[in-house]
Amino acid sequence: MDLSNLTIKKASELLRSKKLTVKELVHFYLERIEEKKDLNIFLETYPDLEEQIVLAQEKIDNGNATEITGIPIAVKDNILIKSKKASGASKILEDYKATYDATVISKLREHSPIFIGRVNMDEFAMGGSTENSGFGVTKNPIDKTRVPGGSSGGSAASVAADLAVFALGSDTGGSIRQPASFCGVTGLKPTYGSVSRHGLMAMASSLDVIGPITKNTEDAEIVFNIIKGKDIKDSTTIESEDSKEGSVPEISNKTVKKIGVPRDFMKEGVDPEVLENFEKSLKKLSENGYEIVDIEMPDLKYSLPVYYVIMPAEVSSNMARYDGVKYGKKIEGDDLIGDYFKTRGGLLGSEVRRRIILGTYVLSAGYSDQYYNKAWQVRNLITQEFENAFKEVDLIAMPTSPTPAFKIGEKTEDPVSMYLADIFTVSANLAGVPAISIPDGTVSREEKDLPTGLQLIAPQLCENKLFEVGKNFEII
Amino acid sequence: MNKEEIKKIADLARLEISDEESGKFATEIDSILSYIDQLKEAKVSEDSSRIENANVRNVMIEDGEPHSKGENTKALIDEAPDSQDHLIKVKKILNN
Repeated sequence: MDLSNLTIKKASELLRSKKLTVKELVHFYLERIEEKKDLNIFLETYPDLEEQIVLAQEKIDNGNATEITGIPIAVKDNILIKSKKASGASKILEDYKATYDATVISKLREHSPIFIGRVNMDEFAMGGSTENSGFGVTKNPIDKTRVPGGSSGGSAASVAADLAVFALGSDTGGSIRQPASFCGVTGLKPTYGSVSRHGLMAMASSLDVIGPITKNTEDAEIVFNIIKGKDIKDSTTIESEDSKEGSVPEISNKTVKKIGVPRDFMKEGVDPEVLENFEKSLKKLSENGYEIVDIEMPDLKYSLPVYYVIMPAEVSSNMARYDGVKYGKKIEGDDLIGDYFKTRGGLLGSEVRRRIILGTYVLSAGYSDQYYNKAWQVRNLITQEFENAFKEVDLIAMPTSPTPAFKIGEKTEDPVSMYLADIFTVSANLAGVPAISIPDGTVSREEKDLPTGLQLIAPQLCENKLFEVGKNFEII
Repeated sequence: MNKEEIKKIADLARLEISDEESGKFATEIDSILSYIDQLKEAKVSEDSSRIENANVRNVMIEDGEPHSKGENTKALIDEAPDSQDHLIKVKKILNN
């Protein structure tokens, strides 16, 4: 039986119709993981797989299975699973074992999927290439000389290389969508607050959100519907529209007709072939009944500079917890403060330290008005600009990334050029709106077909609109 | 940004940093700051407050008994690099 390219839907049908056992399915993926070891995608496969298999198979045999029962899932290394290692791909947490389940994990666990292992990422989710991992770079399954994107590079690569049926990632400025686009898979960044952050290692708390990386839009919808919801353990979570009491508000109920394109924002710095694929995608959509209109969003160009103030500011606060006292590793100093200096200086990677320093600087006395407060004001403008745009159009479309996957090492010496890979993704995080990246073709580089992604952005809590158009786009 | 400024900030952030790296960071952070400087051109109204987003608000939860005393103590203390008698151990802070 050919088990390549399995979606949740397909795998689940095979399991429930007894054409395949959970054990056979899991072992197929374990063998693939072993075969593809050189890509450095998995940091670990979990030691309790046999127990998980028995539990899932029982559920299926008893007729209690749901769509994800027995389905292998890869987990980004910054999401906690009780009594399993979770390192955030950082040396400072190399041997850390989680003491509780993240809310997304407990929600998934009710359905008994197979948590097959944890996957590589940029250290504490800081980066766009997985090159900042404390445990080596992950290679793009399509071209081993290129990065898989990041920070959820291991998650995207695991789905692309058939090492898991789906994966969880986290997205602070594009960390789900950009690697999904680089690896040719689907990535959903949900509305800020629609999915609980409890048990996710905090990077920038006003931007972070957990979401699925999958083979297609339908699978992303299945996973999102399981992990979403208000959580008392994350005070920023919000009720999704369809679980609110009373009627569904008009905005999320309307079918999508009009898609806006902020063309002014895409004039510079975009690879011509990426743009060509984007235009082809728009044409496909327009031929299938969607009205494509140009929109103006003049403040979008400030998204990346705003992001590179607010994000490091929050990073510098959140990283203060890694001090070698409460958990993780410690390097001994002469005294207590010496322990802090040595531990943090010696065990945090250079990108993490660069962002802590930048964040500490923009928050320091005399500079916080110029940087941090100004950035928040402009962030509010951008949020406003999205709200205004969504009065005119139902969705906004942009390329996910201005380039296809770049070469390993190509951008490591120039942080700003690395940061520019996020130019089209950060605005959705700043405004808290949901966005999805869907594969929309390839561009040829050195005889390799590198995937590109179409990004669709919806108003807050209107993930359903992304699913509606995403599913249509995949069949046209 | 110069090396000394980077060292001062690293000091505030409790990061040990080598001379060589502070030089490298100074150059890199300079180029990031000059990129960020575009923000100066953005027009915001003088009185616009920093946080005017209706979704950002304080959320309170009732105090309660979330779990029984000591339920998680061992697991949590076990993760600390140094511990003794169910307590996290750190170096002496005050000298006699």
